[in-house]
Amino acid sequence: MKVSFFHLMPYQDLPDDFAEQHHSAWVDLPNENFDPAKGNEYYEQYIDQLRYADEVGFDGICVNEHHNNAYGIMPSPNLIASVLANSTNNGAVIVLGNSLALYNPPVRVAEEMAMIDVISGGRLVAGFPVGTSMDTTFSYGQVPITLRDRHTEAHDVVMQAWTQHHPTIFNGKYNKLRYISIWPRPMQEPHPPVWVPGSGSLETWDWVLDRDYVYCYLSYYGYLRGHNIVKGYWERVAERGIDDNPHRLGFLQLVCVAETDEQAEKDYEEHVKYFYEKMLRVYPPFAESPGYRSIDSIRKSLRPQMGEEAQRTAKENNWKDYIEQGHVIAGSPETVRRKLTEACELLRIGHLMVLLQIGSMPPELVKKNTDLFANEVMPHIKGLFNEYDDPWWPEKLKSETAEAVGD
Amino acid sequence: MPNFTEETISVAGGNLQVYKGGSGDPLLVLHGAGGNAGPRRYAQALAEKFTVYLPSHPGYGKSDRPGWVESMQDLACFYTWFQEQEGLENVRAIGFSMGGWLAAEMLSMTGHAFSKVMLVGAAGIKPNDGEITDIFIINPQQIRDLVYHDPSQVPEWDEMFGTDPTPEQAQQAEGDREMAIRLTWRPYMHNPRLPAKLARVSVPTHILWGENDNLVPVECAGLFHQAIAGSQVTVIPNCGHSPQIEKPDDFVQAALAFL
Repeated sequence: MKVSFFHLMPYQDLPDDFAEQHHSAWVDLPNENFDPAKGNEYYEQYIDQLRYADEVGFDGICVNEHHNNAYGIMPSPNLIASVLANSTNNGAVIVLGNSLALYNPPVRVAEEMAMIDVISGGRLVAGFPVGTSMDTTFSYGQVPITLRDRHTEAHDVVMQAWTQHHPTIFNGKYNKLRYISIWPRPMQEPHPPVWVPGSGSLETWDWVLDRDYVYCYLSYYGYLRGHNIVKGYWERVAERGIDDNPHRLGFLQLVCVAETDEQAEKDYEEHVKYFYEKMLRVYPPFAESPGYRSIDSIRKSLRPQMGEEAQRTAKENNWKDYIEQGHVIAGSPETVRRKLTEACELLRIGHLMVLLQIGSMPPELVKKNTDLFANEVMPHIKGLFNEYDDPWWPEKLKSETAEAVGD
Repeated sequence: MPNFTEETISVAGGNLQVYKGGSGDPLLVLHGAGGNAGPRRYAQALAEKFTVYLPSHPGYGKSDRPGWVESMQDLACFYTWFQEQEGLENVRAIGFSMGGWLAAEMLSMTGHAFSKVMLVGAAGIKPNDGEITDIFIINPQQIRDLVYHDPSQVPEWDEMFGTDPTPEQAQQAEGDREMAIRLTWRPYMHNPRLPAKLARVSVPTHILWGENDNLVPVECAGLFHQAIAGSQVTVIPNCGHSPQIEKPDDFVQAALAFL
């Protein structure tokens, strides 16, 4: 299996009374709360942390896109990914991803990702989320009801741009393009592997399986709760008669490693609390604009991770709850190894992503978490599911991994 | 009291649900974003003088949702089609809120739609000061609180809001809301080109507003008046966004005097 290092790039200095003063960390939080000088420090820290992860043996490093929020100051993940593509040499650069429906024309996504792929020498994994309700329908004003249709069409434009090596025409419902002929084109053939992060909606599962991509569940509430969603996904895979290669699934888990279980609580509790109480604070109507999901998904009670419920749990939960409910896998290397192995086997996770910088975690602590994870945990789980081929990984890195194993 | 019937009419390849009642010349009533509340007291009163047609817009109520109806302009096209087919051109019309916007779009497209028209708390033109309230980030209860200036003067309050909606009604409301979103999300509840196009309107137009409208600012009455030469404006005091529900007697009096 592949283990990748995920970064959200949170803004760390929201005031203590943030929750009393503001109803949301997304969409309409005034940016007078953003201090550019601190932002400058964070970008430096966070980019260093991603580069470091690449050096210490993670299979990939992941960035993603969110708008109008303090949760992650990365509205353009491609900017960060291009820096990483140029300054790392080892693992995959996983952009999870570009919310396709927001770009007009979507050819821009095809171009930028092709640039990242070429700059990185063919190490890009391309993510195509629909995007959250907050990002797409409120911050970027998309009509919720046509968002998925627009996303699908934009995907088709990108694929056409990537796979047709001569000028082509595209006349769709939303995009009318007279000459698609991107320079550069991606290095990977026929195109970079595609992963699609989703929040557990039926239509996304089918969309992904129709195209033979990887489905990613970016869980904030950990493997125990994520299991329900992922179980639904694997059932859908089986219903459709598709093989259950664990690499069809990507999963994000929050992880905190320390010398002992007790030390983990001491080191990490306040930063994890910052994440749940502040970063995930979303005014419930923003969390799901009407029409954002299909009536079918609503009937199946696939609720969004953010919004009303999130705010309730954030207030009530403490460290013990985070651990018991599996939101965070934390503790000694032994504890983390055991729980993470259990999680990966239970959920059949072939592409594990871990969040090791959480909330307000300072750089020293991120380094400690990263080192302990890379040295004491990662080697013990990397062998999982190795009997399966991974067709959703940059070709170039596959051969290198094979050699490394041969050594 | 005039008897209303519910009919299904096939228009533009889909079914349209229409409440129809009364006798006399036709009067087309276009409901707002919240959906078709059926023949309420004001409609009953108007049906004493007119044959009232109260359709559920495509995507609302039991009407079909043709995929091509994606904007207010598409909806206006649908209704001019309906009018032509049913012989309902050059009729009197009233449009409430989003329905007022719809009537205005139809006026901007053709001189054959209406003989006289009332625009009531109409959306469609962006206010200069303030904004049209974003009904898509608040819940039905909050919307209701904003719509009515003084619930105690709403004669049909108990009938309309006295009991919790059934699951079917709740699901219907969700469907109606989705349609409203399809039509009005971007730009929100207005068409920047509408004022310029309304300069062509030559039919008698009556712009009516509740003085205490918390959804579409009363300022918009003046903007419609500016856009439509010769239009008249009435502002009903001590009244919210839906005068026809909140003050049906005053509303009907004004409507009958004009129509």
